[in-house]
Amino acid sequence: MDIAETTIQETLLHAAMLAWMNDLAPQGILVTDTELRVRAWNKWLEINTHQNASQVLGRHLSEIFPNFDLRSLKQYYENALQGQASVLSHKFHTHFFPIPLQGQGCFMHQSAYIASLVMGEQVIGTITLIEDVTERVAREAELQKKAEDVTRLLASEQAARFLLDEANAQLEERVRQRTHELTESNAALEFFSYSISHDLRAPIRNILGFAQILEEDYGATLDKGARDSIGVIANSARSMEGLIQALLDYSRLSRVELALEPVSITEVLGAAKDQLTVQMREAHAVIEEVGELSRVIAHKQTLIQIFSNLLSNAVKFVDQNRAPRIRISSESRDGRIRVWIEDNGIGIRRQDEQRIFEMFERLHGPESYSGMGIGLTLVRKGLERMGGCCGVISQVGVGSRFWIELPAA
Amino acid sequence: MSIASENVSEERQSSGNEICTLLIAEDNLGDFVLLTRTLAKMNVHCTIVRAQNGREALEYLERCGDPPLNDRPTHFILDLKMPILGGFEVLEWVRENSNYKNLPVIVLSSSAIESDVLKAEKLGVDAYLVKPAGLEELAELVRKILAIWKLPHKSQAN
Repeated sequence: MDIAETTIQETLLHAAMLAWMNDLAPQGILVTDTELRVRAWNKWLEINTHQNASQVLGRHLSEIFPNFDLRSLKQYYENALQGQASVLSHKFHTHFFPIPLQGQGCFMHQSAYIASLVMGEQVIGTITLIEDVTERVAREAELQKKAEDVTRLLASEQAARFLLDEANAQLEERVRQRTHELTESNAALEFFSYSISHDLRAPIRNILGFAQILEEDYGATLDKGARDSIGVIANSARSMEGLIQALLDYSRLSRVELALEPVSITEVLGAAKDQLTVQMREAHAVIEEVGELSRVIAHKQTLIQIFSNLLSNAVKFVDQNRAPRIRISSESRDGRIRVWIEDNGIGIRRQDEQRIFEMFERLHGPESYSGMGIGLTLVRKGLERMGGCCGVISQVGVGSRFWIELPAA
Repeated sequence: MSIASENVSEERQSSGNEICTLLIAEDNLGDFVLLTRTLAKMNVHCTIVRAQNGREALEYLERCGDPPLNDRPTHFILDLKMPILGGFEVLEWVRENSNYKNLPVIVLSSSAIESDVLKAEKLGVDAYLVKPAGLEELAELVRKILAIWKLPHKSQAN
């Protein structure tokens, strides 16, 4: 290829490039002379500004750009004439050339590039490239919004977590407070029971003891009326003592944590019999243990108390001219042990069989104090606290068969 | 026997050449009389010294501590709830005192609250017994005490 050919081709390419820039470029291209008079105005500008090249060519930029001076556009062009290019970001010059967007009620976002056109050493004019960045801005705005949403979401999640933490803390505080109150009221109850057991029982011990001393030491010299009166004092003191003991046992059973462990029925029975030595000797009671008594899961002291109450009833509620005979046996039932306490006592009417375990809890009149109520209520309460149960099968005049059931050890 | 009056804090019951001196710290006069009467009825022979509260008990123990006096207690029955100074304070003092750290002590209290029993056992007692109501029950209590302590006594006729 010779030089002429190369030159022709270059010239053609230049021409094509100019044509492309004029007709097809997706940007606005504006050229001025050094006077800032419009010398080129491409198709993009014609289409978007609705001003034909013929309308604007030769006119000064200030006639075409609204507020040319105010918006300091003049400054940029003067800089360009000095050879200094400027980029006008859409961020600061949202609408370089105010072009309303059809049907969207807003203007085209643009960025602009203003530079000088130089021939040799000499500035002969300016060139301005205007780009439509509406979509990019929209995309950015969307991203921005998303980022904000995420931030907001994070913030609200943080707020939620904060509120949750706060609520948790409040809850914990309330639980702490409630526990404290309960502990306090428990301690108060314990103190109350303690005081009752000490201060209320001392005078009763003395009333009973001294009534008995009167009877022992002076009974022979007193007439029957006096002796009977002493007997009433002694009996009242005894039932009062029994009542206080039962109340204490009941309140204790209701609030104390019972630690469960394997317990030998034989051992517990022995301890219960120890507690009733006097009563049993006086009544000439006989207790018979049948076969090997199983081991159960229970709280030892509570179980001793339960046996003591059941045995005491068996000894107490017998026909006067009969000696109490009590038979203890145990049997296995589905992983539980049932212990039978059978007596030859006065028995319980069928309709009272369930009621006798409940009397204490709904006792109102003083008449309810007497009898088996308290002891059996304690039995049931104690078994309930240990995951057990109890019952009775009875025949009036023949005897009662009480049973208690607890998990096998 | 006689009943100690409220302003006489120590009462001695002497029945000859007994070798044991039982200190009873008990604020309730009735309880004290009932117990000592039962001891006497069951022919327990010992000098009985009564302290009406914990402080009297400590004062007495201190007085016959070092050098030991004849009526230095050989056994000590201690109530827990007493005015001025309670039973536990006395028991603590006794266990820390070189003269008495091995003194046999039985706690005799109105109730057997578990925490009290544990505390007493921890400090070291021969038994924790609950004051019963009724003379028969008291006799039973004394039998228990006699089973634990070999106090000089004559068995009852029956």
